Amino acid sequence: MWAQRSPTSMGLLRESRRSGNLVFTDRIQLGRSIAVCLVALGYGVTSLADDTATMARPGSLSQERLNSAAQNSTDFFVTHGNYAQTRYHPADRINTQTVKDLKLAWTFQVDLTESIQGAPIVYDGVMYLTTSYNHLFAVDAKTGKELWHYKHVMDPAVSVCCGPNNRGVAALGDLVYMATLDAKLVALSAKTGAVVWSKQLADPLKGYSITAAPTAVDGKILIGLAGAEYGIRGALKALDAKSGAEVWTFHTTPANSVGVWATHDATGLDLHRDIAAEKAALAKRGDPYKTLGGSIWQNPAIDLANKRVYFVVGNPAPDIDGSVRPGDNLYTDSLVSVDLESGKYICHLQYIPHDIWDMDAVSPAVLTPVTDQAGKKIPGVLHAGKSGYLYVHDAKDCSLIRSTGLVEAKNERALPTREGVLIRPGLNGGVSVTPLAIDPKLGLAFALTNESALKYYFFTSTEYPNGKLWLGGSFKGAPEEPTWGDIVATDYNTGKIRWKVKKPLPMFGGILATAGGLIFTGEGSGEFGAYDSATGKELWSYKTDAGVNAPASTYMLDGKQYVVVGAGGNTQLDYKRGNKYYVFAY
Amino acid sequence: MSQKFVLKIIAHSALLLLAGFAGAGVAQAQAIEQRAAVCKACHVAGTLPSTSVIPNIWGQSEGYTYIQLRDFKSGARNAPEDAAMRGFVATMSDADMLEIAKYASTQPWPKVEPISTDAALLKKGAYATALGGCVGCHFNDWNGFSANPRIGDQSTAYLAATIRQFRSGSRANSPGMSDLVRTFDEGDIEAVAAYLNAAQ
Repeated sequence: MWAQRSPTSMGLLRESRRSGNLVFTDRIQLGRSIAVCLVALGYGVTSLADDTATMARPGSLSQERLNSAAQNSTDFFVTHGNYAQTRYHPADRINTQTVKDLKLAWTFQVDLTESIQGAPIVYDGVMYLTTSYNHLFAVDAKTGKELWHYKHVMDPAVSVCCGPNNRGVAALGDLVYMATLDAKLVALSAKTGAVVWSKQLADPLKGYSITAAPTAVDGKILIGLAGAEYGIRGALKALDAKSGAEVWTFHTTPANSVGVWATHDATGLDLHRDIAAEKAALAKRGDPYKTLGGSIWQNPAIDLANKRVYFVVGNPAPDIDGSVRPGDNLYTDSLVSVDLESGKYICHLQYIPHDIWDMDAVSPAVLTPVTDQAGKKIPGVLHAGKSGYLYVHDAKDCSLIRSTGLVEAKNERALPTREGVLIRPGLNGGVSVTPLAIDPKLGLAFALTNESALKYYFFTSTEYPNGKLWLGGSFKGAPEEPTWGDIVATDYNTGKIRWKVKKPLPMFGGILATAGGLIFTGEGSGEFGAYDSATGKELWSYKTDAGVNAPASTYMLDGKQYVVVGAGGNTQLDYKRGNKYYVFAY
Repeated sequence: MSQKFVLKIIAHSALLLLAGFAGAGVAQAQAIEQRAAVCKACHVAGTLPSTSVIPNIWGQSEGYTYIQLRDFKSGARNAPEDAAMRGFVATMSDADMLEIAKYASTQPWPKVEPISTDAALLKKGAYATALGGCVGCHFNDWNGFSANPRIGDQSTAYLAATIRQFRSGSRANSPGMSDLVRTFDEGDIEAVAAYLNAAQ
């Protein structure tokens, strides 16, 4: 996944003048300043909580409670709602009738003005939210009062391609887990924010980083590595939740990454590969798996009953130049399933073999029953790709049941040239790292699309540059092409698009769906809206002060339903940065 | 950069090298400020002219400075203009490089002037950086982060020279950057350098 600015956001060009290394707000209180000082001294964290009896206090988060997430209308235990990652929440107090009365309850101001991409988790009256640069806050979910604040102290040299993002935390037992830009997993006390353990998972000097939220399940923490723009070898790792000891590692690029020399992608488009040249390169160079990329940018989905893990793998490295990485480049641009206990391979489906467009798979996989081609209801997997397709899979063997093109396409799978070739969608998507939501009652999957084109260039091959930016080509905005965004609802049982809502800016963030018949989503313009899930009709909106480019979460507290979303803007599309989480209540 | 200028820097380098890095043990004992004085001979801590082909390094991202020092030493960064720096880093240990990079990152960013007021040029530069997607790595207000340098408020001449080095491949320590700036034409380079220089 690479970030490329969309020409639409041209109107938002910044002209601000700067004065410090990071833009701090003026809200930093004395206590916060002390916390920062302690962090600087290496303590890593300080608790700002006092010990009043009314303070929200997290209880222990058992596996049993986590398993119930899909049926629990009170809490929001995991960042994509539940292990199936449906982002469908059972709370229905806010619904198509009452949403008109949804009001801002409070805002929580964070200490950095940068991209926000995570959805908070909320349980036992405490909300855990993150910002860019791995700042983690525990906040009273009713009042917005800060309980503690952890500011991660980074390694000196970290490379991140697409913004200093973080996509949230996981919790299990008495611990909260955050993965960091310098490729660590940090376990903190949910009550105090004190670091219990920290584990280095990969070398940031080789381009490894982590922006995904971890997933906590069955005593394990699952987390994926990113950094394909720097020639990493990607992996999904399982660590012991108590100690951080490694349980298993699944390399996203296996030692035999060659595959079947596929000439067409999963939707049947010709890949225009020169297989003879690739075979010659393979004989000369060997298998490229050690620097082949395969980032993971989002949480895996968990099938609790069958103890299976489903996740998608990002682009091969280098992004645009396939000549130095002959073969299908397994398992890049793929849906992969592995065994939860052992990490052993079960099945995969590669969307785009030997991708040279960065048309990868980054939006998190969703598990839900789907109708197969014979009309039978079977366990299924949904994924929406940067290629702009919604893919529906058979969960048993990962095979593709159907796919639906969600965006306008032009020159799909054309080969990049020295002069530049215009391709639509470009590498921002389609559907980027933005999660889907589904409404299982309606059988609809909701996706946010980026309707834009890019020019793709190939100049010359370069060898692996030891952890440096390695794109293998270039790309540039195409101002002559129209850009916009859509909210798209697709019937995943038939593949038919049910409705689309057109928005002026390419969409990036995520969707929350609820049993109240609503979906919630934000825009780069700062709008945050609620829509009728069945029709797409906008029923409510609120204008924030920065791009709303994160997925929302919801929870119940003292009889009221709350909806929380970050408004931090977005680095890669250069949407206006902000420093607040907005919390609405009815 | 003229050849004469390069030679002058190399000569200075040799002297400063002897003065500043006369041995690892001695170097360790020196206060970091004293050792950084070597750097300040060329990388001025006062106002930096926008015509300077020597960049400002004070207040620069720690990771970026460290990696450049490392690459000078390994030869990964090996353009003709880098000869002087290669001399300086020859006896530096990894710990020295990290220490200097950290120290430099904590220093105030100096004034860099003059900045261009040519509205058309600045607009062109803003447009080219937008199409080029520069913000994807260099971030909000061009501040950079860690291994990615701050490029806002840098010397115009240095920025333009650097883009040209990446384009030609003479600076070979970021092939990704080389590919990205190969979509710029000469006019873009001047405009981008002026725009970033003025983004203070």
